[in-house]
Amino acid sequence: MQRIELLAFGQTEEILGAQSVTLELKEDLIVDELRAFLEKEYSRLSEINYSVALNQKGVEGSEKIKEGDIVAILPPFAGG
Amino acid sequence: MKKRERYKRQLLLPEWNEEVQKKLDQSSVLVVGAGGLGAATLPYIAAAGLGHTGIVDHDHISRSNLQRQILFKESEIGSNKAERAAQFLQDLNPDVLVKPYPFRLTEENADDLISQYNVVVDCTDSIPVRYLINDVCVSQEKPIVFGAIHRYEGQFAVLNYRGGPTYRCFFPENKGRITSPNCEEEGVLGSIAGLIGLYQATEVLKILTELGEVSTSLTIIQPWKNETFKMYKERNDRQVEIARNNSSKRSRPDERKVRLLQTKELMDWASDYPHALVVNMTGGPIREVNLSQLEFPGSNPDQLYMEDRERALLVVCSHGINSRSASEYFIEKGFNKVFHLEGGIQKFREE
Repeated sequence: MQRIELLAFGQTEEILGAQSVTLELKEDLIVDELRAFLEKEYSRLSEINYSVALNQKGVEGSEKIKEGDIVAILPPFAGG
Repeated sequence: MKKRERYKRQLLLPEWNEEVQKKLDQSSVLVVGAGGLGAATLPYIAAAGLGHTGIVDHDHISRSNLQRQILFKESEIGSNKAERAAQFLQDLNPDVLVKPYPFRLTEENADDLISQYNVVVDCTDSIPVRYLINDVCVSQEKPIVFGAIHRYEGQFAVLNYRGGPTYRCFFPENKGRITSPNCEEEGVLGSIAGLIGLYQATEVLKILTELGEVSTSLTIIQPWKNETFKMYKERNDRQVEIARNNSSKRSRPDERKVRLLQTKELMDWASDYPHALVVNMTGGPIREVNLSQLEFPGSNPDQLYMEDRERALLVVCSHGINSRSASEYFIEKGFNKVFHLEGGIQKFREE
């Protein structure tokens, strides 16, 4: 298992109920698996569009997440 | 002289000089949305001497806008936002040109409107319009200064700038999922709209003066929590392709078909499109159409560049068979005005 810090913004923060949460995840988890995990834990996440960043870098679904990585989920804001 | 006095404080800035000021004066920007973001961006770009600003907004001023859309006055409730904002800017700086467009940016008018400006500032409150702006700007190779707000926080980035990431690179579209609600539904703090709008104004000035470091990463500011976050992203070819495909499907549906040209119509056609390119499928260089001697130099379609897409194309071959399928190919590639010579060169020579 590995410990990951997850940051959330805008609507994703409102769904998680906190700006940051610490997650216990299996080793060598990829981004798509993280999404599936999060959407199971927080089902309203599956209704909105958001991107995932690892250490501030936007990543695709097959990227691996390592212990100590800072993971962020970011939705597009609509307001103007 | 009056101009020098008006811009005196910025002309004193290191790097900023008369040359820079002139560059700004010769630039044009289209601001889409004159709401909270636009109300902050617009006066600062016009005051700094940006030569030509277009403002698109179909909406009318309501009392609940005044909490953040500080260009507008109580007495202006009910007036169109683009028109009122344009008047505000014109009073602020009579030396610049401001053009209001009191209607919505749509799939029908976006290509034409955007083609008239150097940079687009995305100050809308609608995610579908943000994708539309992205797709048009990708196909026209123009930078977007993007900004958006949500309650106590905001995000901004310069998109599609010198090979940098686009809106779709940061936020690939996922049509199955609902998009974020806007200020009407979620609430927003007026000063946050102001902050993001001012970041956008600053990015516009950086792009146009070519001074400073343009911010092509996505910045999320959370002034309420005293936090800032940045996300870096590389340009994603697949997302760029999606934007381009959407643009070629969208642009001028009536023109997006191969048009047949009869041999006898050729002379009239050539005077209608004096700068048309002739693509001869039998090989050789692509040339502009030559009115005095309608000849068909052979050409290689690979020599056509994306920037030629707004020009008319005449596709010819010996018998008008290969050129027919080639014409479809150019439509797919995003060319709008594609003509196909029926019967080919053979028939033209016979007549």
